[in-house]
Amino acid sequence: MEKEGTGKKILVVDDKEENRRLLRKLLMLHGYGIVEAATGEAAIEMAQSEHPDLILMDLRLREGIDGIEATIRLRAIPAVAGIPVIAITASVSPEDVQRALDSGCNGFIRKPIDIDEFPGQIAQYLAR
Amino acid sequence: MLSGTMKRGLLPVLCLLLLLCAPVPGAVAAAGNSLPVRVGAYENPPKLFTNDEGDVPGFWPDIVAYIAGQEGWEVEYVPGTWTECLERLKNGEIDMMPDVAYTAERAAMYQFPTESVYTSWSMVYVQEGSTVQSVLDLEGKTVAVLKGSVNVEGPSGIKELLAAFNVNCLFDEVGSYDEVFAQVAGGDADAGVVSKDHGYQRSAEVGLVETPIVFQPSQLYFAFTKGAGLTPALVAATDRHVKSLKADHDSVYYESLRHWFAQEPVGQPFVPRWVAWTSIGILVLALFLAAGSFVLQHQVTARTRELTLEIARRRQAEEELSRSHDHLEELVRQRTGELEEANRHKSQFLANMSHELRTPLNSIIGYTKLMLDGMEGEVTTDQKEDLQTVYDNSKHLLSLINDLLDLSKIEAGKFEIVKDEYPFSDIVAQVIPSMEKLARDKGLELTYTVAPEVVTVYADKNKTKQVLFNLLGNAVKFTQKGSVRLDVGKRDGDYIFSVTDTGIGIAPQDIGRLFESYKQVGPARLDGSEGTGLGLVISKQFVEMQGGRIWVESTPGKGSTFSFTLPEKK
Repeated sequence: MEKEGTGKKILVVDDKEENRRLLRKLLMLHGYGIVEAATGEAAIEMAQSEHPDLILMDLRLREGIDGIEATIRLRAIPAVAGIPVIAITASVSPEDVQRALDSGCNGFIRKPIDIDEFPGQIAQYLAR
Repeated sequence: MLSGTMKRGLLPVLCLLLLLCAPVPGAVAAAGNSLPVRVGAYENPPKLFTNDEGDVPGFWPDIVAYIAGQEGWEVEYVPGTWTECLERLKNGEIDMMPDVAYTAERAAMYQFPTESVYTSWSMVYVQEGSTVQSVLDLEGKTVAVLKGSVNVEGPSGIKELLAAFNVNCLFDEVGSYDEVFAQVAGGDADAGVVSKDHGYQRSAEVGLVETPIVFQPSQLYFAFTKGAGLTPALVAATDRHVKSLKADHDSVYYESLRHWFAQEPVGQPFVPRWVAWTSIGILVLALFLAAGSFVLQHQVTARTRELTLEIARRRQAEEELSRSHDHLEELVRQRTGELEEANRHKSQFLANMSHELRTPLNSIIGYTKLMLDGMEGEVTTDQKEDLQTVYDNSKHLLSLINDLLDLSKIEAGKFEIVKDEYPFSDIVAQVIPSMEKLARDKGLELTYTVAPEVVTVYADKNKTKQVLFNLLGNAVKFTQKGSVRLDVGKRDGDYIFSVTDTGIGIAPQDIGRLFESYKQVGPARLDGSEGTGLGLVISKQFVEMQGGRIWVESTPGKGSTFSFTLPEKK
């Protein structure tokens, strides 16, 4: 049986390797192809070079620009502006949610992620 | 008596001495010789009289002496009675006569100058104890008078006065005022008419008292022989000197008045006794009024000063109050600002802490779940049990962190209620499926019933969902076998939600503490299960924030029913 992620490429942006690895393992189990970036700047380059189907964007990045700024810049580049960006963050403040949506994020997933729910949420965003 | 007379005679002598010493102006120096002037003298002390030495002292002689000194007159007194004197003046046997009251009749016979010398009036005197108090009382009485006096025969004299009141009496006419008094004092007359000057001077000596009968005020003049060659010069000199004497308060005129009458000059205008008494009365009254006015004025001034001070004090107090009020407001503003700042810091801190706590939990929960689900390879039953324990506890820790955050937000007033009308199915659809799964995993049955009239619900969707999650989650958690049921209905304009379980129940003494912060039922009571967390406390807040209420009915060992209401849209 073909997994739901087969043929789909996801760019995981997170400054912490352990977080990227968790998402990589989880998503690969569901058949997704994964590319990763540890900074916002790298994510913008990667988006243009890899053309992922979806970007999972951690909002707090310790070096360089943060996820909000990276999303704003991505939206300004026509070639990648249409790629859905899902914000992932441990923050629960309504202000952060608002800022994420204002910057152009298509969705918002809270950490800690629910492993049972997570693959379904990703599939939903891709299906839109 | 002798020394008195000597003393009385001293003044003219002094005047003469002064005149001799002083450079003599005008006529005297120029003339070189003296002008003989004959002056009539009758007995009317203290105005004029003849003393034992044959000199004629008195008030009038003082004035005569002064003018004589100034004008170089050589004065010769010609003694006689009043009537004799007036007769002599008319015939030119004397040149001038003092103490003559002006009347039109006399003005036809004698020459009067312009300036009067003295003002007098007449009075009626009686023995002490007499019943005579008014003109009417003189009816049928004997009245002693000075024969030929203007106060007897003249206009407004006693005779005219009595006639005016139609009073008839006998007149005892005598030659002098002294005789008038003698007649009254001796009982030969009932009353006597004298000039006020004579009366004041002599009444006490002879034991007579004045009556209120006062009449005929008169201006007294020097009178001169009409038509005589000397008269114009004498009149002119007399007028000139009398005028200047009266104008100078320190003159011989006033000195003499004080000396002979022991009184201040009455001056030119006639002042009857009743006027004087009235004046004194008025003066006393005026003094009283002035004193009263002064006292009042003083009191008003003092009171005004007090009030002014009081106003100033109050104004100052008001200003101080206003200042301290401003200061308080400033303090409140400052403290509010500080509190708001502290609150922002606290919220920021909580947000940061929440983020920091969730980040490691992401890895703990995520990796545990990966292993638990066998994604990292096969795990043994024991390992799986251990991993499940790690997983359950980390999930519980996450829910505690979430609850704490919610509670902090509630306490900080950060939660806003956003009410709207939702289809009831919206809410149920998002709650029931996950709860069904939870119940199924424990072998419990979860059912729900909705009354037909509940189509929509007017509520804050997220908070209502959270309350339902909490109540259903607790029910599943604390129920080992049996069922969990959600019933939704309407009652008294409220939506009513009830979650009923067949769990362990709650002891009555614990029920009151269930919804209170930090006072949850201890774990031992709850059959070794986890505590309720802060869920009920938060649920109570969310329900009450929406205008509803929450309560529980429970039978230990049989189960519990948690219910809450939400008001319908108004």
